[in-house]
Amino acid sequence: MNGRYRYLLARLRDLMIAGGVVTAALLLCALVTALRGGVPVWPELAALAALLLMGVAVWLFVARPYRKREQALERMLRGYAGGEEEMGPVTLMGPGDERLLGELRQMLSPSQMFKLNKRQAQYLALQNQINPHFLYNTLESIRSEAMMAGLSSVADMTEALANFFRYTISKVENLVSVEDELQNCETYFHIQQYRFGDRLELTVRCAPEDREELYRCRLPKLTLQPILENSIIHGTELKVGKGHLTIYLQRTGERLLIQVSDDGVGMDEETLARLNGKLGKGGLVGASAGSQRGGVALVNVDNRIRLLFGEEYGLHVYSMPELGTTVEITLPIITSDRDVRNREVLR
Amino acid sequence: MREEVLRLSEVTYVEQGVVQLEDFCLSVFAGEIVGVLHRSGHGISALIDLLRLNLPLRAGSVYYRGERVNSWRAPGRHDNRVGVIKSQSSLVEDLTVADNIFVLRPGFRSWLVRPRVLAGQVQPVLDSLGVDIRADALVSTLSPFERVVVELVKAVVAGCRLIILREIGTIISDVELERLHALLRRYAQQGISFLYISYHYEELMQLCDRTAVYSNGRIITVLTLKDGDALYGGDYLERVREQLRQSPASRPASSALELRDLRGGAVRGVSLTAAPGECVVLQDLQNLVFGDLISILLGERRAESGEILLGGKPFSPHPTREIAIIRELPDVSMIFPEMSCLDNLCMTVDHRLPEIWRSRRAREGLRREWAQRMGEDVFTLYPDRMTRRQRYDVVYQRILLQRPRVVLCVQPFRGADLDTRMHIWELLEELLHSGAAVVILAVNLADAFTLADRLVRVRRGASCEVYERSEFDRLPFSAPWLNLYRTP
Repeated sequence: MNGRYRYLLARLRDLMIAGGVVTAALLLCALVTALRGGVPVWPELAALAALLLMGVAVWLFVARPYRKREQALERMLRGYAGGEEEMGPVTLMGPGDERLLGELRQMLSPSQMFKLNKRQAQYLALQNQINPHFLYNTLESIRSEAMMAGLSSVADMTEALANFFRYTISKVENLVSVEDELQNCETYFHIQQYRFGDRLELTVRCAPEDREELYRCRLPKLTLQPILENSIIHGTELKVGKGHLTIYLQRTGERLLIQVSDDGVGMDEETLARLNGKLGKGGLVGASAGSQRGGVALVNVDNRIRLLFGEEYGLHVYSMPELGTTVEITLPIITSDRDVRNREVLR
Repeated sequence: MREEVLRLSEVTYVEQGVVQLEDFCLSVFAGEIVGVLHRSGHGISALIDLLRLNLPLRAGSVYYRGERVNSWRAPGRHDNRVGVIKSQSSLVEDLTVADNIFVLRPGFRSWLVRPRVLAGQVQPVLDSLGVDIRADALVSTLSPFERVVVELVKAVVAGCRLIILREIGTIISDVELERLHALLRRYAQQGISFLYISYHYEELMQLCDRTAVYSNGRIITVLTLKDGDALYGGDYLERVREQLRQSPASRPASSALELRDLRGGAVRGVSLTAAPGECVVLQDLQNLVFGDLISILLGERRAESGEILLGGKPFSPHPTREIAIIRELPDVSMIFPEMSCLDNLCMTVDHRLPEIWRSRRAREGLRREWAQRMGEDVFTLYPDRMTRRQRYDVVYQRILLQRPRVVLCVQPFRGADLDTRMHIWELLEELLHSGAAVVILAVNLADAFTLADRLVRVRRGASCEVYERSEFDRLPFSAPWLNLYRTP
């Protein structure tokens, strides 16, 4: 028998079955006696109906909520988010329960988790807490010097880097259009090309008829670039020969699907399972993920998406050794920031 | 914008404490044929049941036709209208095609069944598909291919927008498979989606735009055509190539088995020759003759005419240890579950070691000898505790111990995942090296084709075409791995 039923529910059920059977048997006996003796039978029938109603009531108001509570707590213990949104209403067994759950929810509220992930994203982008204006000015100076010295490639590279930082450092919590995000990816890729040369190739694909609509969709800032960076560093960089990166956009009635694929070294089944296990937990693994190697950027992006839009959206990774890796991002179709479900976390 | 017919999002499903699916994600769009290649079979049945019956989930959600039909928080209340076609037909044998399509359909409420009206409605549909099936024909008279077509039409008529086909390639031939694929493409153009589950990537790549690779309850990647070579991790494909590079060894002039125009039951004139150490694939295009052919060779059915030569001498059919039969799914059908591994192994060796059942010493000696091949562990287990690979080992090693002249293998690769297929391949090679003639009775050529020294095709019970290995690159039909034969 499953452990979670060992306690209250099992006792309650046994008690209900035993009590119900005995009472029903007694009532049936009384009914038969009444029928034989010509006595009115309605009291027995009424008692039977009451018994039945009591059974239904116990099931609806005691047993079922208890099972739901068990299910929700088990899910929370397995690492999924514990907010009311994710768990639904939970039946409390006593005042201690209520206090405990309140504390937990406070700790794990979407806004708290989002802030945590936002901080992590900022940290990832700004490892050294550089003053942005100082950085832009310095890069601009380097660019001017390079142009004057006739080093156009250095000037070009510096400009790309300045653009990249300008986009990356400011307001990480904002939603941006797909077009802006793709532009940032191309800037990042442009910078990487100075390192890899022709060894890297990036293609952005979508159905031409959907292009305009797709590019107008909103998504959290820095959703694509960290994934693209992961694809380059963990996928194609380790591969011998040319690496191809693809960003493929498509939409259904309600969802925006973005696939970031590489044809790099891929990963084995165990690593893939571990990585996907970290995703989809709505923020709980965000804080601890940093201690384990790999997947920090993915977990961060996944957490931000889930906290903003709900548990049905997020990231999923597909991979096979020698075949490459695909990260599938699922987002709602949103063209205005007002459509965001959890808008308060953006503030 | 694409219409999504099915979406499984981060689904985790547990059955009796065993995780069947974990973090399972898959999307199928309208009019799409998505292949599911399973490297291990664990959880596939659960996936099909889950899609049909909305079983309670531990995590994740299932969306069908745009609606969330099942989730861990709110288990689905209704079954989904999803068609499932398996290698074992779900049609009722004693009813007509029209009855199966209409009367057994969920939602059929008519009190009065009017066969002529039903047949009148079904016949145009069948005719439009270009299949020669009569609406009033009994299902028991149909060939496996025709049954699959009837099940397909039944699912379409029942309004299923998603149809799951599981391992259909094991019951119908390559030619019929091509016809079936054409029908699927036709329905896909009408917006119906298919989930085509198979063990063979070669089969999937002929049909599907996308193929999801399934392993241990997860989709690990989604492939396009170009990824095929890398799929097998180089290992399997390299083995295939190596096998093809080998020039056929010179065979003894005498044959181990020769059938000359054999007739009886569904067998309407089969001829073949298999020399010792030679692998002959007998491909039955209609999946009709295998049962009767084996019955004739075992003496259970009288041959109407023809001649059988065993070791070059006329053979009067009777059960003999000279001919071994490896039946379909031998890990189940040829294992005695209540007997130990050693007893299972000794089952057919008494003609070589008459004292085997009396002498404990003889059996202990045999155990020691075979433990070097199969490992010590397996001898401590009863079949119910063995892995699939170990059960296959027991069956094939038993045949090796038996030392028959001829081994007839009925669809040896059926139902086997990639690792098991490679293992079966090794076991068959071992049989060939031991000097036995191996006759593989197959409907579909996948895998078996690469081992074959000769291919004999049987149409309507009679052998119609014979191809030697040197002619495989010129075969006038599509077959798996054919491109490899054609590679210079």
